[in-house]
Parts: sequence; structure tokens; C-alpha cells
Amino acid sequence: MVLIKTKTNYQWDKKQVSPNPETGEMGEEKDVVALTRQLQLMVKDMRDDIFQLNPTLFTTLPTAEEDKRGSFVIKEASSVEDLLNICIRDASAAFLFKTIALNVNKKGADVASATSMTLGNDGDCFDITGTTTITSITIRPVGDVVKLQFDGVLTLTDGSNLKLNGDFVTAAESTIMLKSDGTNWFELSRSPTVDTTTSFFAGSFSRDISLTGDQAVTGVGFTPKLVIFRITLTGVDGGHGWGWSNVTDEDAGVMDLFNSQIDRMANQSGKAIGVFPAASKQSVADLTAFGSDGFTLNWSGSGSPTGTAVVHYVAMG
Amino acid sequence: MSRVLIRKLDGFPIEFQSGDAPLGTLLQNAINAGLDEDDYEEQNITDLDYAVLEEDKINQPIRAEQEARNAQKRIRQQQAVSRIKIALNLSDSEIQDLRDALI
Repeated sequence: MVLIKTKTNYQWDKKQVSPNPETGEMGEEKDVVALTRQLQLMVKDMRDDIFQLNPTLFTTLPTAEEDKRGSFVIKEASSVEDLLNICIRDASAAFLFKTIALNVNKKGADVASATSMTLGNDGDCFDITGTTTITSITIRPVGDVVKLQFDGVLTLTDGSNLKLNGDFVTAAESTIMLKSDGTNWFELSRSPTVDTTTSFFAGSFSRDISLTGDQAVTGVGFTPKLVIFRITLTGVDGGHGWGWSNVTDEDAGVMDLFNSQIDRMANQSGKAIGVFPAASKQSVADLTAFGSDGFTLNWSGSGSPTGTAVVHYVAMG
Repeated sequence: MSRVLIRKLDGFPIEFQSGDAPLGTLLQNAINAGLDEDDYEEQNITDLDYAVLEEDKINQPIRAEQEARNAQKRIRQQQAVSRIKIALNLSDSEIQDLRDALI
């Protein structure tokens, strides 16, 4: 094997010649000179080819110069930006790359939350102030990772160029880490993490259906998101009604004793519970709110209904 | 432990709720409904004790009322049969045949 080192960019010379493996004698120097010459020509041709393809690659650079053989060479890079410019041939992008590259693991200036938010290039860690919902963040170069720490409550919405593990409702000191693919931001992690646990509680309560007004039901142990009800009326065998509510939407299959068939249920849209114990008598309940330990029903009625409703429910949170 | 709101006058359970929670919710519900809080008392209760209370104060009186209504209905039915039998001059076997035919 022949080892060759350069003295300068274009002056190749023999430094060492390995012995002939069969004879053990040193190789001929003229062979090495010829090989060196071939390598010199090859390198020059490559440089010239590149120059022919894109003359501006070298000529626009302050650090590029034409040597005595007519080739453009990089004498000495004056900055990171210049080197990047050589690589990506885009001065503005090179400036951005350089700025970001020099500000890794550095806290940038605070950024006010905005629907379409733009982060500064003065760092990769940012405090996000304000409470405006964020639906997109101006993209940065592929591979760029940013760490956001929120100062208050806002929603970072999954969608647009934010590819998140669901919406992120922040609190003070919540954090999220995002990585750019050049088009979208992808969530790498968040804190606090998404609570994917589901809580269930099966309970019961009774209600004098002659009464109206708010009935708070507690003892659930968590804030429900959905409650499903089964309603019976004490003293009535076989009759029952069903209902469900998430506060926003609710629907009840009313226990309708007015009809001849005791199991017949009348639809009562917009109510979670309904009991029709007799003709022109009805008692219905609307689930108005969820609380940290249960929910609140608002009862109303007409026709002076009487009786005790027994309600079994499953709360899910 | 579950909770119950008792009407002091007769011990009737106005409201019951399962689940552990501080006392006060059921009494507030009564106030929300326009009831006088002085007439009611909220207590903790085991589910077993509530089952006994519910049976004693709610289910049993309802059953007694239903049985009384059914007894009245049976009396009225028997009286109607007697009136029909006399009006149509039917024997006991004939009125029974009529009943069987109608059922």
C-alpha cells in the first residue's frame, strides 16, 4: 500500500512506499510520482467540475479565492456562517443555521403566547408568557429541538403544524419539548404528562321527586367527565329509565309510568334523568356541572309528582 | 360511609347518597329545594342500615298502600260480579262460565 501526504493543497509527494509483498524490495519511485500526478489531476478536475456546475458557490464567498492554477479554493473560513453557506448555498438559511447553532442550550427572550407564535433565534429554551391559545409555531430547521416552559394556563392545540399527543393544557411551570422536521413540530415530551388513567365510580342516591332545585351528589372521589344513570321509582316493580350526561350533551330515556307499558321509555333530549309517574306529572333533572367530588343535578317538574326516585349511576373521569 | 337526610318528625329518609364525603351536602340540597333545615338531620349511615331504613320507611308503607288498593279493587270486582249475576239471573256456574269466557 502506498501512503501519500500533502505538503500543500496541490503539491503531492512521496513519503513512504511500502515494500513489494513478493520481493520485499522497495517500490520504484517513478511509479509513486506517476500515481501522485494522477491524484493531483483528479482533485483538480473535481474542483473544476464543481465550479462549472455552480460558479457562485465559490465566487460569492469572501473566503474563496482563485489559485494560480485557476481553481477556486477555500482559503480559510472566517465564520461558521460562511462554512454553512458553502454547504447549503443559501445565505439567509446559513445565517439562521449559524444563529441557532450558536444558541443551543441557551435561554432565549421570553415569547408572548399567540395563535401563530414565532420563537426567537436567540436560544432553544423559552418562557412562554400570556394565556393565548397557541395553534401553530413558526417552523425552524429540520432537527431543531426547542424546550418551552409556560408561565400560565393556556392551550397548545394539537393540529396545524403542531403534532402533539393531544391538546396540552398548561399550568405555570408546565413544559414541552418539540422537534422540527422542517415542516411540523413533533412532541418529544411534556410535563406534566398526559393523564390517561380513567376513573370509575359506581354509586347511588335517592331523590324525592316532589322537590325541585339543585341536588349536589358527592362522594365520587374525582371530577367526572361522564355519568350514566339508571332510574327506578320506589314501589314500582320493573319500571326504569336511563340517562347520560357530560354536561354539554345529555339525553334521557325517561321512566314513563303514564303509559300503559311500565317499561316504556320516552325520550327526553337535553335531560339526564326523567320520571313520568302519572298523567301530566313529570320530574326531570339536568346535569349542570361536574365538581371535584361529584356532580350537580337541577331538578324541575310539573303536575306535582310524588315518590322517591332511586338512581344508580356510573361516573367516569 | 354513605349519608342520609332524615326528616326529624317521622324519621323518613328524604335523600340518600353513597360514597364517602363530608356531611352537609344533603342538608344543602334540602335547603336548595326550599325545605326548612331545622326539620332535617344529615347522618352517616352504612348501606346495610340504610337498606333496613328504606325497607321500613319507604318500601313497606308503599307495599301496604298497594295491598290496600288491591284489596279495595278485589272488593269492587266481587261487588260487580254480584251485581251482574243478579241482573242477568245467572247461577254460580253460569257466572263462572261467563268469567272464563271473558278472560
